[in-house]
Amino acid sequence: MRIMFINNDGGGFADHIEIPAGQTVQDLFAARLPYGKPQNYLIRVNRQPVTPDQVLQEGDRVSFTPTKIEGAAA
Amino acid sequence: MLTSRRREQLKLALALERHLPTTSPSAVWPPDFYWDRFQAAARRVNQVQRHQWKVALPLSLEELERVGESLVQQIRAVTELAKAPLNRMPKASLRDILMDLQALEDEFPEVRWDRRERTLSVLTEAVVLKGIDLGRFEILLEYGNLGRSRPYRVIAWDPNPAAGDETTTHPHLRDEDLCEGDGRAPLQKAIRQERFYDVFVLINQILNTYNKDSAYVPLSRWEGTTCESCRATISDDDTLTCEECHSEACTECCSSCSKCFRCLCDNCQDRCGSCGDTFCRNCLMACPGCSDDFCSSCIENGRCEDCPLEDDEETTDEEIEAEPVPAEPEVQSVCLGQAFVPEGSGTD
Repeated sequence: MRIMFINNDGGGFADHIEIPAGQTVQDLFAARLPYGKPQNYLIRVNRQPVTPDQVLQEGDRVSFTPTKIEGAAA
Repeated sequence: MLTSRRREQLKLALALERHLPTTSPSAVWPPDFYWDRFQAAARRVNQVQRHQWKVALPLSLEELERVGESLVQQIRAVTELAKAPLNRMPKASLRDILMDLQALEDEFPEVRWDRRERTLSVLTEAVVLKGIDLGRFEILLEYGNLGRSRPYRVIAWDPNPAAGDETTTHPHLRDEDLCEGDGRAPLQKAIRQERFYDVFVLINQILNTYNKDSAYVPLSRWEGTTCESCRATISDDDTLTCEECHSEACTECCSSCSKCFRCLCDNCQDRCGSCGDTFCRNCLMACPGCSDDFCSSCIENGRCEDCPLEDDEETTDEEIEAEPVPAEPEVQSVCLGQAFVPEGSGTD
């Protein structure tokens, strides 16, 4: 099924992707950010906080945003 | 039936949709904001050099270098984005924008907008970093400027700026300009793809993260530094480091050596006993006569002008006067009119 996936880590990614039916948020995170820890990210489905075991639906908008993003001095 | 708030949100969403850039998301956006900032820094350097403000010069040059590097990085980022395949993500729909606005209301304590000014802003929770409460911040998006690389500002709502620097209200924020650091690339993408919810969330996360290695003013100095000479609290910009003992002191307590120009604190300065100018101890010499210290201009032959050389060190007229003079023949003063005749030269 097709969802909108947004990864605000690193260089950023935002596009529609195909995922297996029945995939959970946790499964998607493990597949897309294998070296990341979920507690270090704001995880939103359709812009709302969700539990890791939430099953994704066709057309969902999923975003992963790091909680720590270092700014700089100019 | 729509509530009045929802009706206003819908009107705003329509206004935002009207102001979305018409160019393709993959179009190159020149780094106009960064160029403007570089120009401002260059003008400051020119002003400082024209007025010969020696103390301000290194700071203004450092700022020019910093914003120049930022401009170069932004040019590189824009170039890389231009090379990437065309972004197939469709433009934000009215529904997307409306859902973003509704989600912002859940994410932030306050959301406000002004359709006349074409602004949309959120108020964050108080930002506390390393125990220092920096207050709330307003993230203000100027949706009339969505085509620019920096269409937003960050305004301190309860300012707690760095000591002596009113413009720095956050370690990564100066003059309402947030330095995005690691957040630059995803934030630029979110702006160009009109994901307004992500834009505000990303900026909020940057505000809530402290990068001690790249801060305008580190939090360890946020409340000022203590001058080790006079014990006054001084701002980061007014702090100098003594090049002799490496202690930190204020500009009032520091002077430069008149010969080698090193920066010296009160304790490491000394004065020439003759001209009174400030020197480091390496640039002064002790006069063996009076044991006072003098600069190279006020000491001659190893002595100050008040301590002449000792007698046995003189080699001038006295020695000449003491040289033996060849003896002249003796004249018998009794027999006037008679001259000296060398021995053996006379006759009977």
